[in-house]
Amino acid sequence: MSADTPAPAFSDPLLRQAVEAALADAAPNAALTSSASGDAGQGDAHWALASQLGWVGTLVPEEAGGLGLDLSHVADLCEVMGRNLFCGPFVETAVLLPALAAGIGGEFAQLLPDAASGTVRIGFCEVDEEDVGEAKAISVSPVEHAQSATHFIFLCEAPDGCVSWMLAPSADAEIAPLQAMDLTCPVARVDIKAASPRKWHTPDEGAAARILAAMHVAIAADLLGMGEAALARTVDHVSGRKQFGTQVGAFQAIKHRLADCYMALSGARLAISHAARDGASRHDAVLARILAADAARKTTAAAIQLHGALGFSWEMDLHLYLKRMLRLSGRNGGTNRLRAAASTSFVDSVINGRP
Amino acid sequence: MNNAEFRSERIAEAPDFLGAEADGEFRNGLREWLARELPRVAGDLIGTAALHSVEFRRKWEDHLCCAGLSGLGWPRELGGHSLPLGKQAIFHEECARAGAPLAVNMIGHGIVAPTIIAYGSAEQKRRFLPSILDNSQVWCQGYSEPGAGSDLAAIATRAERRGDVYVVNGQKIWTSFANIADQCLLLVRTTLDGAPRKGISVLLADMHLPGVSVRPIRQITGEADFNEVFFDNVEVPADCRLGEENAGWKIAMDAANYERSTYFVPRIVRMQAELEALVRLAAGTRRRGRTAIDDPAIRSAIGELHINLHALRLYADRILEMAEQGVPPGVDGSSVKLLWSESHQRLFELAMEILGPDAALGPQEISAPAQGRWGRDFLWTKAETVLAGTSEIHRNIIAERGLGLPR
Ligand SMILES: Cc1cc2nc3c(=O)[nH]c(=O)nc-3n(C[C@H](O)[C@H](O)[C@H](O)COP(=O)(O)OP(=O)(O)OC[C@H]3O[C@@H](n4cnc5c(N)ncnc54)[C@H](O)[C@@H]3O)c2cc1C
Repeated sequence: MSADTPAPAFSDPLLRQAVEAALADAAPNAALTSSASGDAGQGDAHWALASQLGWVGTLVPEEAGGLGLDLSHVADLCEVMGRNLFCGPFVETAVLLPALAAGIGGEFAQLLPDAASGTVRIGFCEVDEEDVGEAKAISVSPVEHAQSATHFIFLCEAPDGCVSWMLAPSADAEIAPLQAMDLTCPVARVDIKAASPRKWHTPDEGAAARILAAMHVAIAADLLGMGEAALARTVDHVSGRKQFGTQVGAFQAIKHRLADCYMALSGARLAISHAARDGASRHDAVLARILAADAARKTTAAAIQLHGALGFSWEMDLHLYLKRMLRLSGRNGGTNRLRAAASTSFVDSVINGRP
Repeated sequence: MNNAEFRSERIAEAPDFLGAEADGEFRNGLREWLARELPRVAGDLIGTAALHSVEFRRKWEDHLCCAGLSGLGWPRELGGHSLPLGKQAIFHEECARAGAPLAVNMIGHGIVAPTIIAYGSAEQKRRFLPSILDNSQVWCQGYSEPGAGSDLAAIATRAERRGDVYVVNGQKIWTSFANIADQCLLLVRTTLDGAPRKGISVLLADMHLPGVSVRPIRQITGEADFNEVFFDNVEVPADCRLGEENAGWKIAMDAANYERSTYFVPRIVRMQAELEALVRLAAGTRRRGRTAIDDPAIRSAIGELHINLHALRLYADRILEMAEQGVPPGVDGSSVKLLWSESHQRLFELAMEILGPDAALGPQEISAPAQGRWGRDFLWTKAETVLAGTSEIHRNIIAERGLGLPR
């Protein structure tokens, strides 16, 4: 796939094109790099689009006002969003919440109609086991998009693999904004007072796996999309920039490095496609997520390096990709933890003869 | 030449340890001095990110210089201390260990001064060296241009001789610290005839001359330490030309050699302290019932960095030895630059992995671990494989000049 040919869709090419077209008009990278803190205005513009065009309802069943589509559609949306540096709690609201509604139901399911219309915005908080309890004070930082969240969803993945979830309205939270690494994602500290009542839900293993897998696939697709964008920008630059009387892209050192990025991204694309199918496992999703994170890391590093000093300057918006990669890679304990988990699950399956 | 000419009013008698014969004694004396002076000068800034702000870096550098701790390697007759490079390395090592910030005027001390000492006239030495010694003048290095980055010989900034001045017109870019610099080691084209390398000269240009304008460029760290510099009919006195007219290419290449031997040593020795800080970060980061340092992947990555650092240190020692004998580092200089910059990048990538979700905190967020320094330095290391010759260019040098592969 070259910079000009469209990437193949995971689901419906028309959906993809529509999202691509809508976001292409609403991706003012320049606005982000011209303001110190970036975000807010653009976040609202992006969210308005995602609500009006029904993207936030992708996974929400039709009877709750959504589109009733599946994970492969989410993969398309998230890839295009990553490519265009979408700003807003899409993964939390449009992927995690419907997955919890399907796996646990209850209070999560009740939020679906408002989520499908874009009124509900979810902030996602990962906590340690010590924080789980009915009346404990919880303090989490950094929480993405906390400032605009209407609800927070808390996740605790215990070392023994037990997963529990909790929902809290933002009225119960104190929010203190913090400086964000990624200019497309405001972050804050979220404090929930000790007294507010709350209920932790522990879904069965199958449901827990499906919830986490959905989130991994969505994040992987975002990483893939931003990686693709960074690669396309870099191919453009090295094709135009001349040193020593020739385009720097003609030097084999550069060709090889970009070929490696292309290869890594293509592998990630296949893995995401595989993990977004019905019947794919959580392990499939974790592998897709790791492959996408590695490809995005490689590509964003190459993008900066091959732009020379230009890549290191703020006005040249390439750092937005690097910083987005950093933020997304750190989620769910980081790629490193996922790699260890993937390795453990593979090794165990070999030793214990599990399929 | 008389030492007195080079003595600045601002400079106090150097501390006693500087005269110590034995390395151990030198090291201990310095360590005590730093343990006393750094907290005294830094006050409340100790342990904060502000210790690494340009303002404090400059203040600390002024303090070192005025305490007589500059010109460590310069000849005594030029106001220096003639310290062997080994002792200079110890100096940088102890500064790093004490947590002192990097210098700001490193271009002045590490690159310009040795170049002036090698190529300057007696008059130029008298004019420029004392103000480097006491740090009253900051230098920048005006090499790169929009059309001449890796291909430095393509510079187009023109200097035309008119009577006793050179009239300079053109533009430099990415010039570090030009916004605070008083002087510039400026590469200009003095003739359009012949091969591009044969028409380049070096000027020691006053940044306050009429016609010089500076526009800061913001970096991905959020700071703005590099700049565009415009020269519009700037009249630089002809006696500010360093070396012969049209012989600037060799001077620039020699300056790069100084860069590789003296400029990078402080950075290499700092990495040891940084790796130790990383180990402590991993030991103090607990998530999901587990401490990061117990993660075998993190241990193995730390092990790899430790091994690289060992090799790097030996490389650096070798380059120092060569420099002491007046041998330019050549291809080994490229190896050191590559190994240093790429290991340094890896070190901070690893820090980001250890930080996990905290990596989403900004480089100036003071509630972040180390007040955001890990994130800031992670971003900064992206520059290190580009400045002072990109990794690609250094690999070409090793392959072509080291291995003799065809160009
Ligand atoms: C933080 C920072 C501070 C700086 N400070 C200064 C300063 O104080 N003074 C100064 O003069 N300059 C300074 N520079 C500029 C620096 O020297 C240049 O960025 C560097 O020489 C590369 O030039 P360029 O940025 O134009 O990249 P280009 O030369 O355009 O290179 C773009 C890409 O092409 C690659 N490339 C180029 N030629 C080849 C080849 N033959 N084979 C393979 N790959 C190739 C490069 O490696 C790079 O990846 C600074 C740069 C940075 C990032």
